[in-house]
Amino acid sequence: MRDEFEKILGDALRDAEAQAPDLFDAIAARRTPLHKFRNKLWLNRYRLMGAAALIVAALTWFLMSEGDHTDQNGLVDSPVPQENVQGVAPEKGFDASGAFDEQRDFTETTEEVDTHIDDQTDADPVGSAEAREFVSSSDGQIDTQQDQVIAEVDAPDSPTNDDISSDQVFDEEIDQTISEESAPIVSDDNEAQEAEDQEDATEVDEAEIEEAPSESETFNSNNKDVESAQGAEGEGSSKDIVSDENAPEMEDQEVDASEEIVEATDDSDNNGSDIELPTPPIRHFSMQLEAGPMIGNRILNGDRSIIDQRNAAETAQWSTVAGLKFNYELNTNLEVFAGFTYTERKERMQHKQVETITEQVTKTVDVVVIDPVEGERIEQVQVTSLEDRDVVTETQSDNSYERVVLPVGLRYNFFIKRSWNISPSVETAVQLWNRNSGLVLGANGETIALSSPAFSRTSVQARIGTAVGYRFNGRNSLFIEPGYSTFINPVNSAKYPLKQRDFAIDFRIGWKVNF
Amino acid sequence: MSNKKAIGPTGKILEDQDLIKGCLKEDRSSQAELYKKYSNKMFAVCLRYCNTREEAEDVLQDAFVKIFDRISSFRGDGSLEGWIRRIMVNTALKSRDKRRMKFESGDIEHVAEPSFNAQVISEINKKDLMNVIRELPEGYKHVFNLYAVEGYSHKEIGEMFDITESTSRSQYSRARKMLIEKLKDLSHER
Repeated sequence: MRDEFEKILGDALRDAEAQAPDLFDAIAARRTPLHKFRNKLWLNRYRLMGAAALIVAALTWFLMSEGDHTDQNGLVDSPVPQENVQGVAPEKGFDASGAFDEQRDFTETTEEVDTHIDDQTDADPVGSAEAREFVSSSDGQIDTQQDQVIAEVDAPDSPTNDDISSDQVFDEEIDQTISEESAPIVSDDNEAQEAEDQEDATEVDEAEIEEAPSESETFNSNNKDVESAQGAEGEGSSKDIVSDENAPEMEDQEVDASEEIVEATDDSDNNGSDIELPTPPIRHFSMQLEAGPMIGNRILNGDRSIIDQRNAAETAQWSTVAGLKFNYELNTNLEVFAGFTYTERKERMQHKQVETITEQVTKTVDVVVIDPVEGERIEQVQVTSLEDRDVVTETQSDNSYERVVLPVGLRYNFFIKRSWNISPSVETAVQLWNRNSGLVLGANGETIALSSPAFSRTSVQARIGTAVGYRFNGRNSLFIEPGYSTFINPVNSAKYPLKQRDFAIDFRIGWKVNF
Repeated sequence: MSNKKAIGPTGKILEDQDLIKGCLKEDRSSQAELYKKYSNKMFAVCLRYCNTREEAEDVLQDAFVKIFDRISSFRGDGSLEGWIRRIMVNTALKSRDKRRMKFESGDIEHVAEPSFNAQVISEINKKDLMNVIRELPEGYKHVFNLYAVEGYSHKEIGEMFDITESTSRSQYSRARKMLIEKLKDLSHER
């Protein structure tokens, strides 16, 4: 009870004022837009969770769109450096017979043609003999469009080029036309003339790449041009020119060309030319989904008598953990990660409390009444007395501590051999959400609900773990990760007499996908 | 509720509700008015809990940053002044290293308390009274301020400092005895 002393002093001091310095500008300066935003976010957990979900969604979108840059054949949509074309070309969608199985951009094709021409010029002048001779013998009947056709057709003849069949794809008919025509026209032109013609063909081709029409248009126009050339020289359409007899020759040509490719590649290697081998795409981002069993307990600090009571009453139960993490590979060995983890620590509380209660007991007793007149008689009389009685109260509760935390950490791959790796990790996690249910014992043996505000404190956790992973392919791997986690701060506020810090050992099994 | 009226830019007297609405909109003039209205009273609170004026200024600044940040969490159940005062007290207590506070544990001692004369207190001005309280040992001062001035119960004080209720009572009893003696000395000096 507050007496007069407190009242007088309290009243005197409560309304006391002291001249405060003008700190408003300093206060306003501390409240930057970022500070305000952080507070708005942090003070509302729903907003925070919404923001976290947005970040995850954005990250997922980013990762997915990263994957979309590569088409089915591993071709990158962005312009490819010319020297890389050779290395990538074998992955393109051509089948063994040279069939063209996908729509492609004409520009991409002409880039390849350029490469082929360069290769021919540099590496194998003999391979383009037919075409050169054809050009030199065209006598102006074939216009510049035809020159382009020649350039395109020229490419397959290069033994160093992997795309030999792709050029045939463009115009088998044209090819046939040329091979038929070029065969009788073979002449012994001097090398200077060949080089000049080659340059002309290349220049025309490069000039036309700039204003190249669509593939089909080019295809049609090429056909027309060749047809018109044929028409000028003789009779029949290009279809007529392609005879069935030529088909086996074509196949032979393809086989020969394939063999030549291998040889040329070997030669190139021997000559030290810079043919780049296909390199696997670098996958920095990965996502992992994990879940597993967990057994947890708590460390209690404070009043020993309450701790003893709780230790006697509570038994840890198997619990669960699940999580989603996003990893970013900083280098071959080091990864940073963030994500969400859900844990549920379970325990059973069984407590017997013996209370001595004083009861008012009314009993009926037989009393012998001795009456001088009537003699002795027995009467029943009710007697009330106070008696102490022990009452045993048994309480049982299945306690549950559910939490969603936001882990952030580092993982180090210290052992990588073939498909196996061992990666210890360390992480810290801030609690985003929690829900407790059940009962714990209080200071006087009373039960306190875990759902009370005393146990809804925002906690910070730390975890160490070591994952053993097995990589199935470039994208997917399986891992198991045992770990130990503990709370850095108590899970309860000062409203509860003890300080409780939870810890757990878990065994997570997960799947990791690299993007 | 404070009797001091906040006057807005248009000369209109701003009630707490207007100030809160303005602060929620991050209106700088409303925030300035709120600071002007309560800063002197709250600075007195800070001075009671802090050892130096500089420390009290830091606490005042930190607490007002929190107030402007968290004004949306004021539900209007109690007075705005009470809410601000609570933040001020909590900020002041958090700024102190609780581990260094010495609370002599033990049961309530039946100390021979010197006789208390209300007349003595009325003769002393508020500034001297505050100085006397500030001179109390750390543990005594906080328990006294919280119990006698802010109206917290010993149970609540015990929870704040992780001490038992009886320790809080004991601290208060000793603080009270020391304070009465100091006030008597001060009265005699006059």
